Amino acid sequence: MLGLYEVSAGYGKTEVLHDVSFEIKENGIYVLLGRNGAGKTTTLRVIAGILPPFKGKIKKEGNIGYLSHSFALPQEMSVKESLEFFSRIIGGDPNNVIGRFHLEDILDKRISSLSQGQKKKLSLAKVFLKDYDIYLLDEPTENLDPILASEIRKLIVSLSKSKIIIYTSHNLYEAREIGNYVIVIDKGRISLFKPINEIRLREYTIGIRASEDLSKILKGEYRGDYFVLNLNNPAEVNSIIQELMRRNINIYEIKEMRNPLEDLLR
Amino acid sequence: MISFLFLKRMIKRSYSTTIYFLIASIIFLIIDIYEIVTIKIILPFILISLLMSPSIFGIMFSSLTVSLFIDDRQNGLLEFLIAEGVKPRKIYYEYVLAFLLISIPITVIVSVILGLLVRNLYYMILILVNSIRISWMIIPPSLYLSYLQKTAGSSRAPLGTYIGITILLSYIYLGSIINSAIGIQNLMLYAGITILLIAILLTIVIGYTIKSEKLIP
Repeated sequence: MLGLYEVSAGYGKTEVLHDVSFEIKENGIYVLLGRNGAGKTTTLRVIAGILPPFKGKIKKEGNIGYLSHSFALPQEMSVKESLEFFSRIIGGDPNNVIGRFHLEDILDKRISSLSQGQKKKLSLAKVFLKDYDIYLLDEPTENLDPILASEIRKLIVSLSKSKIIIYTSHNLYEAREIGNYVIVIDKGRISLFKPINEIRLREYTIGIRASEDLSKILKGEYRGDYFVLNLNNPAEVNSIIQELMRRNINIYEIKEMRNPLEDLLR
Repeated sequence: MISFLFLKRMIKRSYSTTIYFLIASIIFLIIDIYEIVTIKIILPFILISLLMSPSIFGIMFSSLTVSLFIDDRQNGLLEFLIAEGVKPRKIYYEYVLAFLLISIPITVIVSVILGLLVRNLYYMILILVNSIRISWMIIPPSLYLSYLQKTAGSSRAPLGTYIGITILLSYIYLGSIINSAIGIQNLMLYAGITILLIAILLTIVIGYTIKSEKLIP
């Protein structure tokens, strides 16, 4: 369980969060969305206990693991030494994360010589040295190669069955793919908190890749190989498909051209 | 325990600097030993110059402590430690302790070597107390100023080092102003104990002012 009740917080005399309130009772992935400077990182820092709130109350049940946006790694150490360093300070067994995060090949490398993606892997690995009840992950898949990013998403999804995960990302497709709830923060205030599947679109934009020129049949425009058209309702896709099939046009692909979460940030 | 890890990191991230500091201290120690051996009769005036070798290592090594602190804050390591439940005050004390873990033993070793050569227990205590307090006095203000700085690497960062050098040089000049042997002994005794107590107090008080929001990048 995690709850913020009329929490205001910030840095020095600057208030970044204003009367933020929300309560999380069930396990799952809560995607925290917001534009740059909206207060996402500040929210995570307040929950993690890094920033004391100016006012308001925070209720937490269980321990919290925090992955910050910065790598938080001792640059002069090798990967192996750094895992031993963290395990001595916070606990956990380095051997449990070495295989899980594919660190075997870089164990003896100095952190300062690692690529950004490798540093991110190690930074994530240190958070998973221990088991927590609540995970706060600030852009966990940023800088990762697609394969590892996909594995991390799977790991987060499997963890979410028994943990609360608050997750920030600028990748809205990823957020939509794995998130259960969305929390939108705008200028330091919570503007939306609801299940992702309840998010309705103002406009639904799809792209169709087909065997023939669709501009003579449908109202829209070509963007590369895709014929892009705006619909008022996703249900209209069905009638478009039927119409194209009736005309013996082969449909190679239909995809969403805009993520619905984008609307939340506008 | 964290302080031992910090100390190891301080040395490891710059072996060459640490070795240079040790060599510089040894050179000053040799000069002091030469002074003691050639002069034969040790007057209180000479005691001041004997502070040079035990103090110099602490003065120089403080820069490694401060730069580690600045880097750890900038790369988010301190933020991670706070999120893990380590109190900001404890983090500050761990850096101070890491510095003292190396500077005090070296200061004690050098002071004892000089004290044994001088063959005067009282002088040995004076050298020991004064060199410890010069070393100790450097670290709280150095760390505190770095903590206050929003931009890392500003020229104010090594202020503590400048304070240490100023105290050391003041002693040397005072030695030429105060012309009574008793006066110098009293100065070294009272100023030594007072500043050592101030350094300890400053360390404790500053610890209570450390806030987590200033330890994040």
